[in-house]
Amino acid sequence: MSGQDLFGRLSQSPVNPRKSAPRRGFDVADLYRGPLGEVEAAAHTDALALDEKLRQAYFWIVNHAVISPHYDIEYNDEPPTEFRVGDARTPLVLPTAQSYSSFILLPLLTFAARRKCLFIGGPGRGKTASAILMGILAGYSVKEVRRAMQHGHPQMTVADLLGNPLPADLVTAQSVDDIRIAWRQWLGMRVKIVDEYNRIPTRTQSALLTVMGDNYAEMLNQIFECPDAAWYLTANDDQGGGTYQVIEALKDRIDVVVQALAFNPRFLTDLMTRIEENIRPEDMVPAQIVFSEAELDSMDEAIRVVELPDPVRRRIEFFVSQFEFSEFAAAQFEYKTKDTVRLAGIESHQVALLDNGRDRLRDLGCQTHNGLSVRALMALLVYAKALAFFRGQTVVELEDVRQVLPFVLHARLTPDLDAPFFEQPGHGVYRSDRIGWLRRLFDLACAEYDRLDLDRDDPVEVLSAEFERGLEGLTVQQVQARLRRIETTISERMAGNKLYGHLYDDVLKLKYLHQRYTNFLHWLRVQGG
Amino acid sequence: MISVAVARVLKQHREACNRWYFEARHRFPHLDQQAFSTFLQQDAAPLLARAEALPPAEFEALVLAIYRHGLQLAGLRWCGHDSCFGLLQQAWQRFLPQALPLIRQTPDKALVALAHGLKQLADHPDADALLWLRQMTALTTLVTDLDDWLRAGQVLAWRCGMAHFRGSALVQSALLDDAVLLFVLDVNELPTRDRLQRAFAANRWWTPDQPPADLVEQRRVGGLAGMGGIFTALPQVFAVNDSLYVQSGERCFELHVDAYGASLLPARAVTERRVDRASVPWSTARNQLTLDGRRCSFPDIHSISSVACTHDTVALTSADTFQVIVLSRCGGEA
Repeated sequence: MSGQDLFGRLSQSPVNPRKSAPRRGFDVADLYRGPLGEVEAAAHTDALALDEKLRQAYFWIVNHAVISPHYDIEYNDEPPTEFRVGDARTPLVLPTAQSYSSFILLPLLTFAARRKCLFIGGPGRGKTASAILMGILAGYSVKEVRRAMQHGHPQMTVADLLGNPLPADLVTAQSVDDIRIAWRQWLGMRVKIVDEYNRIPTRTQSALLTVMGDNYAEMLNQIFECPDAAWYLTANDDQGGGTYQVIEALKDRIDVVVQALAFNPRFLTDLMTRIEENIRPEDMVPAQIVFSEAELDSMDEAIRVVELPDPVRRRIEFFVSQFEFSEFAAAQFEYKTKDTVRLAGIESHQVALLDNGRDRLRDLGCQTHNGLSVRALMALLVYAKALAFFRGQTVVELEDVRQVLPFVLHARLTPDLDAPFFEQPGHGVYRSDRIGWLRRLFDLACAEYDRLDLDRDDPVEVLSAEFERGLEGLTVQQVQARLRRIETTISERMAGNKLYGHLYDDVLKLKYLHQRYTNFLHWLRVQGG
Repeated sequence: MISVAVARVLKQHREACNRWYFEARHRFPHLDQQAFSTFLQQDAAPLLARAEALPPAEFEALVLAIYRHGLQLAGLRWCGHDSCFGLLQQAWQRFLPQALPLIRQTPDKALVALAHGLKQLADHPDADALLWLRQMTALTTLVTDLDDWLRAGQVLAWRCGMAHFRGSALVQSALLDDAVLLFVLDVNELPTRDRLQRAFAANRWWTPDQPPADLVEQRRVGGLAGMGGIFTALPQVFAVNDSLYVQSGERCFELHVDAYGASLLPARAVTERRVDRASVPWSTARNQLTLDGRRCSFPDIHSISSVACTHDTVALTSADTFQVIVLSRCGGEA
């Protein structure tokens, strides 16, 4: 036991005990185990499952490193107690199951899944400190993490970011290929931190984009391949208030946005103790919660294999399909998207004026200026799986998706603040509360999904499943029958004149199936002829 | 009193010691400074006094290990005036100094293991923690390696009443030297190792110096909560896969019992309770139990409320005592 272990002891009991966990038999080795710090504790923790270790890390940070965590990711296993408070009658929920603080959980999931996380919030709220903790969890010393952190500033050059050509080579080289580069050390690290990224000049941002997006750095024809890494970026303002406008492509590379919430002065005593006793949590991280490179690889694999059940997938599809569709954006069916409007340089409200009779309150697509990119969808799926993994589940639950969705879509789904939704009584708060709005949006989509009874009655899903089983062995008659069913389904889906986002995507899917069957039918006829 | 030698080490490492103290106070907000001082000045003094003869580097490591250990003991209130763990004080003052040759090998590991072991034995209602401590001290003359000593301590814990450790303690016993095993089992001679293990495995009432008796009451466990027991409702015994369980109201317990002790440990509710009334080998009438043609009566009870049987044990309960009465059987004797 070292002095550090004294401070940094971890609970040896499971941090998320489950009823179904198989119980091991009584072992006399337990005689020497208990609450005291001990040498064998490390060995005991080594054998922990990675999800348990990740939870241990989460709870260590919550209990020792962050003074006032906010439990804004709420889980309930029975109806919670709820209070309506203030003039706005805002619900205050006391969760009945293990709930989490997004400010710690999302960075930790980013660490586990090796994605990219942006901390936003005013100065001095622990954004950089949290990022440093993640670096230490990856096995780096505090000094290494601090030295490797990139601090954005208006004079930051590409060389500052990536490295410098060796001066001797610059003088003696006969070709560009001969010039070796002294790459910056941070490029090779498994946790990368860029502080105040919105203060980086635009040209340097482009170099950063290459590293973030393609995982390599390039300078004078020399390439440095970076390892898979978790990225943490910080910004005091996510709305373009930095020194430089952040380029859109760089923003789109960020997988989650986490807001650092305000310090609760009720916890001032803890802050004072920390000052008086000169304790810095980053110096105290217990060795048991530090992840090796192999463990990080295994954890990434384990997250990927978490199952996403079809009913949950369908709800995600239904939600996402609400936003891209714009009926009067184009004459060609496939181009009826908000992106077509954007590319044409037309204001979205001008197209909205063409809408006649659409229920703009019920149509969730009317609440946003844009749809969702594939990258956003991938991030949503990865984080939903990572959250399920973190909670010790092998299958993603709908609540996992509901909880991570607002953080993934925070910077990706732009609200149309002139939409009728925001004019509704009590909805004004959603103009500033992006997380609350996105969660509400998902809830509304789920309610609509239930109203349409799509879990039980979804002909497009039936036809898709039929197609997925393969075309082999189908006869001409069978294919023709399927084509007729697709046409009938389109006709039925379009029976009401109004077209909404989810119907638009259904029809596009049916058109895709129709085309595949049509091609197969041609092939069958050629074979037969 | 803190000796000059100890004070010198503490002074030399003053900064680290202060930091550990602050860290401990952060982790244990109720850390009692007085309890910690008393521990250092009185409880640890005999061991430290003996340790002064060690080489300086070893002595220094031991002092610092004891300092850090003491902080945790004080933080957990395992030492000091309001400690409910008085045996630990005795251990430090009377027994641990004799174990110095073993403790010095890896002080952190040894001190933590001993504190945990002693605490678990002290908290167990049917275990004899003082006996364990005495035997551990006596063992210091037989073993020279810390790991061997701790292993012997595990087997001793079972011998001192922690019946739930029986299975894994028997595995550990196979690794002990003959002399140590003789001492731990408190016998003068042993059968061969194979026969010993087979005999232990065959019948939980077998000991090297006494064969199991048939239908003889061995011990009583449990009792009514509020009267020193743990059952809040009339206990009912049952057996599943040759293991014994007790249900009391909503709570279910595993009953581990053998010639050396008994443990009642909380268990998850057992749902596979299948008792075929027609095939049970026993019958009861008032306070009498008949099993395999043999009759056994219990003068202090009026009726038997439940009976369960394994190949080597009979357990029964009565509303008169709220206890589980355990009898040995000869089945499976080697």
